[in-house]
Amino acid sequence: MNEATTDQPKASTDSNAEITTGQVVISMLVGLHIVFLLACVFSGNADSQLVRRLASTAAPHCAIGLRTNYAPDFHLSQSMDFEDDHHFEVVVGNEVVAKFPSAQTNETGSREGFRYQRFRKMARQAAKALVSEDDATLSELVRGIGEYVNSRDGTERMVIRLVAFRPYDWREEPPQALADSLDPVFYEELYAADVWLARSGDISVHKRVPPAEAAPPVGSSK
Amino acid sequence: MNRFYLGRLAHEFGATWMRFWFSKANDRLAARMRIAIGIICLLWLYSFSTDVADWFGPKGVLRTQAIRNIESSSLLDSPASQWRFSLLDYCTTNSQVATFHLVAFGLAAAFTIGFATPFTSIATLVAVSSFVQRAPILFGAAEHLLLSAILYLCIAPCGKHLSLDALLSRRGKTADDLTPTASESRSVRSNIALRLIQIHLAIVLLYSGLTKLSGVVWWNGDAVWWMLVQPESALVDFSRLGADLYGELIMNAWTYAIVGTELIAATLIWFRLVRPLIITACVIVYLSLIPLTGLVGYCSIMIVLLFSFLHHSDSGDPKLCTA
Repeated sequence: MNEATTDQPKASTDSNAEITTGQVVISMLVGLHIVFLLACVFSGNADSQLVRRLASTAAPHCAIGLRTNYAPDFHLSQSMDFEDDHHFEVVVGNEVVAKFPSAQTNETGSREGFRYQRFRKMARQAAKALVSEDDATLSELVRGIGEYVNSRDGTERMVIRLVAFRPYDWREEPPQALADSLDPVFYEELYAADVWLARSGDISVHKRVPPAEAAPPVGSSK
Repeated sequence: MNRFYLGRLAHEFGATWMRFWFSKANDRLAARMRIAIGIICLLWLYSFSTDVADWFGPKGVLRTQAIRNIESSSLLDSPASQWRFSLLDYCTTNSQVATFHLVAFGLAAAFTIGFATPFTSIATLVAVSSFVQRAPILFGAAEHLLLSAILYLCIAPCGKHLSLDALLSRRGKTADDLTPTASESRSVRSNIALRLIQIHLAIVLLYSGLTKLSGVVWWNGDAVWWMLVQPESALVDFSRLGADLYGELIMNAWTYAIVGTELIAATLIWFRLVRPLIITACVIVYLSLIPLTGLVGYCSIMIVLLFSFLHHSDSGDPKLCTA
């Protein structure tokens, strides 16, 4: 450690100077904080028993405001599918009435804004949940979008889709493909659900499944 | 290795530790950081201004029960979930949520201008933390760094300079009283806060660099490409870069510059001779990430936190340590 950024009065920090109880207590707290911080930050990627146990012990400390269990995206890109741009599409009838997030409309603010990033994070978490087959998280996120649309527009019945942008590799695709990256050919529907306002006043979500995977109707011979 | 070596090692480590943590730092740097972090905090809170109830109201996007359901699911279950605490959980109507948002904004504004700073710094931390803890699934690296910075600034006397508190305390004092002595403008509390920010930043830089190394795209130089072809994220259309060989070379170099700078900065930023170069390189890298990723908040906070490594002379003028 280098003491470069501070003025250092020798008298107060001389190794022969008497160390006060306060300094000992502060040193212990600081040391503990650094260990816990390391455990919290690195638990986003590490899967060892030791780090898991340390992170578990540090949980109350991290809850002060250093919460890291949602693994902040410090890595920026690992080229995983769920890291591609995703958005929720709200379809009423046959028309797409809203996208969350969308840089084309003003609904979610501008791309550089915190608000846009929140919707982006939400769509990415949904994609992550889809990969992990975490239906509970996925349906809560879709229900959330349904609640948002219902409270804004009063729409009571809609289809919500999770759509992914599938980027292209310029070494495999011809350069002219770059001309319009918003072409529908680059987008893939990953998930769709019927969403409606139930009589109880709550938003209900029913995941759509491909016909081949659906159970036959009761009484059907097929 | 003998006991004399171990004894000397312990003695040297102890002396270095004491110098590192218990020297005095200029309070003006903490004050400047308070203003910068406060402005980011205000912008962050302002981003909720049109739809705070839509997000956190009783019928909002992510109700408290929805967060509990998500946290109890297998994907996001973690020990920290059990310790989630948010004052917003106690707001049961839209108007209460809107009022809480207004109060939080007021507290952050008071913190930024340095009014009743010892109180408003802690209150701002609790208020911002309440938003993050209310729906942590919505937040990421920017919020993690924002909360950490406010937490550390709570330790420092960051309202002692460049603040309304300082202005109010000058009223009724003579000119002689107003000239602060060198010891009055430096404190151990500022030093501890700034050191914690520096260490936190170094850990984040190290983690960020190491995590990137686990992805093949950072090794083969393609990571920047995969970021810039995301049409909803990148602020500028760089896709033409990929059309020729030179473009590919630029992207490769850009990729290596990002991961290399983060890994080097985490360690070499502690050496004062190379510190100006490291800080400059980091600022360039994070500025370059803004058009690439759209993560304005995250990059801005990283740049602000880097300035915790600035040295302050007694005149209060910030300068990079070169000696």
